Amino acid sequence: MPKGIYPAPLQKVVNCLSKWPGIGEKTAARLALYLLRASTAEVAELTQALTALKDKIRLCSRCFAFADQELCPICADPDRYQGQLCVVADPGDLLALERAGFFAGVYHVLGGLISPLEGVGPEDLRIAELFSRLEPENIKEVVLALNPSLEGESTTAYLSEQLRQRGIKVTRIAYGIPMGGDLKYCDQQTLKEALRHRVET
Amino acid sequence: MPARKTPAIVIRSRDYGEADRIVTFLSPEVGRLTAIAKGARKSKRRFLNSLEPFSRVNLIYTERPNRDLGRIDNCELVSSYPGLRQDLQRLGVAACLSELAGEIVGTQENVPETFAALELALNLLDQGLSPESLLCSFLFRFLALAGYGPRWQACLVCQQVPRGPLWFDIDQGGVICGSCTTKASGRLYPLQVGTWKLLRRAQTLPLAKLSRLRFDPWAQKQCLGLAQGFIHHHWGRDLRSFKFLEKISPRDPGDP
Repeated sequence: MPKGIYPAPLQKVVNCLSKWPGIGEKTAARLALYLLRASTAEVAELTQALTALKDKIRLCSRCFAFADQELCPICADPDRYQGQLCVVADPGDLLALERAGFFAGVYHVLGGLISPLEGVGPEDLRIAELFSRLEPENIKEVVLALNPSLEGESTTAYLSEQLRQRGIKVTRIAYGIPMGGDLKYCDQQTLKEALRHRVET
Repeated sequence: MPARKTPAIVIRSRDYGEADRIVTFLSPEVGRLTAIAKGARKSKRRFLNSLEPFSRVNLIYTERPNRDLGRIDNCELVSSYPGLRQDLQRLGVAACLSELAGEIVGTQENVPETFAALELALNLLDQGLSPESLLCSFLFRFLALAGYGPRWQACLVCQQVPRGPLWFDIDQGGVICGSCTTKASGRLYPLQVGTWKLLRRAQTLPLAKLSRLRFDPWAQKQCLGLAQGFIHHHWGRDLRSFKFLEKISPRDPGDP
């Protein structure tokens, strides 16, 4: 640990916090000084919460989302429609879709996207696990909800091909103009996709 | 510093910090260039989808004094080559060629030719031409542009038109006749006559005709092996994208 201007215990907290995303040394120092001034109970609550986070949170054995039991709350919920499965890249995407509250089926988290520049191939993702769920869970439709980036689209194309070969209905979420958006500021590709996937009103 | 405008191809793109993106471009005017797109992930309006890898763009950027990293002011999409996203093989080949093109442009004068070759290769891949044949011919074309082109015309030892069975000398970078191998100094790899003819043409054909070369699966395998060994010998490491290509290539238990 580098020698700092703070007493050792304080310096240690600053060092730990400044490793966090979006937090530099100054913000880390401000947070550490806040913790120093906070009540013992508040700090104890934080410590317990952090320990529990690491101890209790694991990946759902079925869909690989975050869970505190064997199954995540969504997989364990009997009211979810089991025939429809939505594939997402990471748990953050799952939470975003859940916030929208529209999808009533179950999920599968791939744990990343196919990326040639990073050397990530299909076998580095949880694709085999996805295929092994199709039959036992009697999946009727797979909805691919991956980002419309180079990596996301390539993964979508690969999964569509593989799933079609297995005789499963496969769909992907639509690409188009975001709500509150402006046609003038949209790129040609988005406009093309939006026109191609127009719907009857 | 005034802003500069240049055509460019995105060869690498990675997220940085909360909302920024650091993007590496290949430009025929400045060579390899890395710049930061501030707020690229937060505001979808600013850069739209022009910073995705392998996109052909028109870039407006500002060099910053005493900094390696320029600032991207605007980036306008010319083509995103959507065909690459439909097929992993094409995507992997695009990644390989972009990575190699980025490696070979240093401060040399070969930059406009390398840019033109990469732009053509991406176009042809997008149109659906055989990605494997394009990979073989363009890999060796890029090496030649960088001044690493192997010597195909004559045997390294006897200086005559080489006679089979042929070998490739990885260390010396050239072809060797079967009868001259005792006098060769480097590591030798077997080379089929057909593959040799293809590679010789790949180095000399005009760029626009490069896509006419067809490599059969055997020649592809041999070419890729040679290119990998050769690149490893000169750069001391492999291209990252080679690993990806290996992962997606179907495994054949009867392979040599």
